[in-house]
Amino acid sequence: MMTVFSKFFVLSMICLSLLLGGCVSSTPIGSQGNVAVLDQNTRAHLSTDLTMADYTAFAEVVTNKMLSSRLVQGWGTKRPKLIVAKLLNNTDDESIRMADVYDRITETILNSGIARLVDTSATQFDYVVRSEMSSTRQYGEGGQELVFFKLEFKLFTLDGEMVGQWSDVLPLGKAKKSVI
Amino acid sequence: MGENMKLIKKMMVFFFSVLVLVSIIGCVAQKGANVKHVEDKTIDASHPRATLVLASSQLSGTLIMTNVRFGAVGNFQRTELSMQNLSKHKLNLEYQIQWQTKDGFTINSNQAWHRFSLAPKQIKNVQSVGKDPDAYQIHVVVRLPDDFSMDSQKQKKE
Repeated sequence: MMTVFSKFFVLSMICLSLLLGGCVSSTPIGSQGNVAVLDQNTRAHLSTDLTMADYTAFAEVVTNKMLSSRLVQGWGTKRPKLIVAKLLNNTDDESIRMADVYDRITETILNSGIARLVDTSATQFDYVVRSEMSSTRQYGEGGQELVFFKLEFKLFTLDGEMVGQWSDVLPLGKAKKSVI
Repeated sequence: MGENMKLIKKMMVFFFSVLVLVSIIGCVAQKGANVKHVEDKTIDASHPRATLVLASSQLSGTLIMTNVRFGAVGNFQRTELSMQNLSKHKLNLEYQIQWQTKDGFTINSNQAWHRFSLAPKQIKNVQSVGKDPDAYQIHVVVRLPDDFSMDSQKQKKE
């Protein structure tokens, strides 16, 4: 009687250990000097400065608004020639990589196929997009900071008439420094 | 007594077989290569052209996507949908809308996570334009912010 129970107990223990341990992943965890590759679209911020993902978000939102406008809808398959003028940096931060913001904007417009982009030196074009980035900044107690970045698109015809304006705002806030 | 022993042995064999079966089946990985996605409470595919993916099980039953609309803007497709906070707490979240062709291929455009907050019971509309003439359907992914800022610290405290 005991022998049968002992056999059953031993076999059950083996099965249980297989059941509990068999599915555990054996992927080794490497150490990489506290550096990690993040999600390429991560919106994480260590300071109140703009990141590449912010440039992408700006370009996406403002072009969304532009493409949804009646004027641009009316272009249909005409694909007018567009000059995207140099982006103005009206923020309090001269270190913003305006060339990267500009590239994100042109990339989004170009990939949409809605218009043909021509160089600023071109003599034949239909519209000019003038864009500007500006900011406001406030400081509080204990290192608190609140920054608003704004990107604005203005679309002009050859005659200089403004026919469209679209903008997006990105607020960044920094919390109080911890006492500990 | 002999009959009882036989019965006990039969029962033991039965239990042992069940245990072996469970241990084998339990380790078999779920296969999904031939399905669009594995059914889960964090996925809402009730709309033929829009799928909501909640990238956190905490959001299941708390956040829902409602009133999905599609329309044409010039050569492109535009979508607008509503996010509804069913809970009694404020939610700080971020979303991404990925456009796909009719065949389910992802449109290669830069996608950004967009931050949004929902007060208790609030409904908010979000909009996106598929910046490609072939854009047809959307995948909406909502997650807790991947952030080091005060927003996420506040959320952890809550």
